[in-house]
Amino acid sequence: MKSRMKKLLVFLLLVGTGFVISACSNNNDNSSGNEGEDGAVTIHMAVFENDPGGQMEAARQRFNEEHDNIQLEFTPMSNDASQMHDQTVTQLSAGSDNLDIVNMDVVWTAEFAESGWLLPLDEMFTEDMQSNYIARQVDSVKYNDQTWAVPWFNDLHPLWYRSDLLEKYGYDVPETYEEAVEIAQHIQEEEGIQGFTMHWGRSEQLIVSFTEFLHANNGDFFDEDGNVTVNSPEAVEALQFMVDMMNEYEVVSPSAVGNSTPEDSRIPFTQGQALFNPNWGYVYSINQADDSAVKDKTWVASNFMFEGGQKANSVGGWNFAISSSSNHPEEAWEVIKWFTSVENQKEMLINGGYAGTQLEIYSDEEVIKAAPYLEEYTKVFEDASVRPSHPQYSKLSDIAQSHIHQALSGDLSPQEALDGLAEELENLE
Amino acid sequence: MKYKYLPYLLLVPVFTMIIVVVFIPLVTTIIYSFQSYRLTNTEEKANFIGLDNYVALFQDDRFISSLLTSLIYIAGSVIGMLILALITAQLANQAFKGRSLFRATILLPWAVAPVVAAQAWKFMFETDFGIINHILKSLGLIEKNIPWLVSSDHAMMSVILTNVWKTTPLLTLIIISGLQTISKELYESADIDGASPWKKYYHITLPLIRPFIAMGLIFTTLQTINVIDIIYVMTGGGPGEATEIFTLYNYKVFFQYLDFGLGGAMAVIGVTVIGILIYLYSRNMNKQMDT
Repeated sequence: MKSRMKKLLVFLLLVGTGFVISACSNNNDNSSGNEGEDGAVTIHMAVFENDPGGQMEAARQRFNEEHDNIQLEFTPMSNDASQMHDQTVTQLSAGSDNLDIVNMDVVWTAEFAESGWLLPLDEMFTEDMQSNYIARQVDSVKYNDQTWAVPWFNDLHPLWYRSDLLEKYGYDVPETYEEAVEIAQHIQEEEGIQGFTMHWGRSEQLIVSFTEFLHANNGDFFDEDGNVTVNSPEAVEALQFMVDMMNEYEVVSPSAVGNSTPEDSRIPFTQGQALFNPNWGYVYSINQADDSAVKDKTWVASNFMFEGGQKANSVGGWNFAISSSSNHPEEAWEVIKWFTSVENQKEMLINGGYAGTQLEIYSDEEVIKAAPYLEEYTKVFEDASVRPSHPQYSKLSDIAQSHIHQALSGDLSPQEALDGLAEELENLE
Repeated sequence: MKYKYLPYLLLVPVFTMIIVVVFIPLVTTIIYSFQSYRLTNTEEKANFIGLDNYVALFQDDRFISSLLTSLIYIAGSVIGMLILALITAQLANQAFKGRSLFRATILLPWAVAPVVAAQAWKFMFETDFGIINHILKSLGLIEKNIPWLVSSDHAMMSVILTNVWKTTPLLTLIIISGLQTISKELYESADIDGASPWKKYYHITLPLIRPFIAMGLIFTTLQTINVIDIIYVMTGGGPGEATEIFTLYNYKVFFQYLDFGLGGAMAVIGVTVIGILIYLYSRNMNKQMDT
């Protein structure tokens, strides 16, 4: 009996060690980017887990059918931008050759380029080619006079509004925040709904919204020479207005300070509970779904501005870059070129609503026929506003969120909050 | 003779595991804490800078306040849990019909994933549509909605409440097992001496379950400070930094700021603080057992 026990233990031990060894060596087996049996190179590309309508997968299959020498594989990542950032950074900082093509948010360019994780693409993505793309999206892939990525998905954060309600009460879309607040107060009282629904929780979305208010009042985080200007009188005024929208004008619910995702503010809007919702481009297709309470009742405009300021819609979007640890940059470039081509962007816009980055597709007759809203939607792209570019953007954003949030929740005055933020930004190397 | 080396052989897998997943990361973190190691700064990577990271931390108001926030969060959680767990454990230890159902029910919160629990409580605490304000209003206890998660007066209370709900079952379970070790004869002789129920509890039950309570407190304290899910989901550390415990700040420094040097120093200080706390618990326990 005893010896049987011991045999069992030894057996378990062997199984255990075997498991550990195989777990450790697992990585070597599927080291990728190497040549497959038929001499084809495998390229790994980061994509979102969420693939509405299977459009990305369909594109991947088309690509693989057309190419004998390259096999494309997807590396699915979180749909939450901050989590995707952390996942991507883990791969890149480890120098992994498992990720050839990086899928990059517009605000990561400086950070990734500065860290040496990307190949500069100036020679491949020539100025000639760049001129075919939406200029703002091209700006977002530049850092230190070099080009680091190719714009792929084009997103904007404009104002979505209830066209039926404005019409009912005889209003045009207002130009300034002051006018908008008055209209909101009026309709709010008549209809028993909320004027604005905002995502002002402690997250990146707060920076998106704050940047718009800041730019709308001619303020900015930094001036042209890189000096901190975030506590300028214009900036303080803009933040004060955000606070007043909640406490004084009561057109934003104080609970907005807990809305940390775009969805938190989008849901009441789609349910017909709000008049204005500054939000990302995806709102429209959800509002047009059959179960939506506001089908055919919403439309888009640029965000408001302050008297003497400028309209500002935050730029978002996703860009493809090549990892500096990739073993096959040429093949990776082939993949990027194919994905961002007019043909593929057109296909994915018509079938899946992916707003591409090439100018040409927005004047294409087939596209306009399939998605008539695009023609007008693209007008709001003229009022684009870009969040600050900084090699330590994630840190900058987190610090800014903290200070601005304290002003919104009433713990600090806007002046105190922005003075504190300015001081910390000055110490940011 | 034959089995002379067997014990060592049997220990190899466990030790390998411990070295790989505990020892190496620990040493690496300590080494980082003496270096300037920022992933976003390619020029000076892993330069030895002595105690600079530690000095920087103690000049960082945010870090100091995050330590204080952690202590408030731990104290609030642990006191709440202890009171609740003592009561529920006592109840669950009585013989009554449906006791096993009762026991299973009080364990349920512990079985829920922290993220799920936090998200559910976030909905309930919502200012305008949340059920908690709705109930308080229907009962006539409040007139205006309370901004539970978005005002710094209430946010800490809300996350503590959620954490107490989530982690109390662990403490309850440990205390129940303590209660079951107490011999019935002690109570019988106390009855003969004519002791009141309260006296029996204070002089028999409490001293005998004290080691279990101490152990439970160690577990729940670690759970409270290390599981950042609840705060991350419910407030993200906000409003401002009102609920930012140092483990959450530490997470941000590592994975958002990508500053491994500063993050390493923070982790070393954090582990030391928690170590002291646990030492105090166990010393207290031993002292009272001796008397």
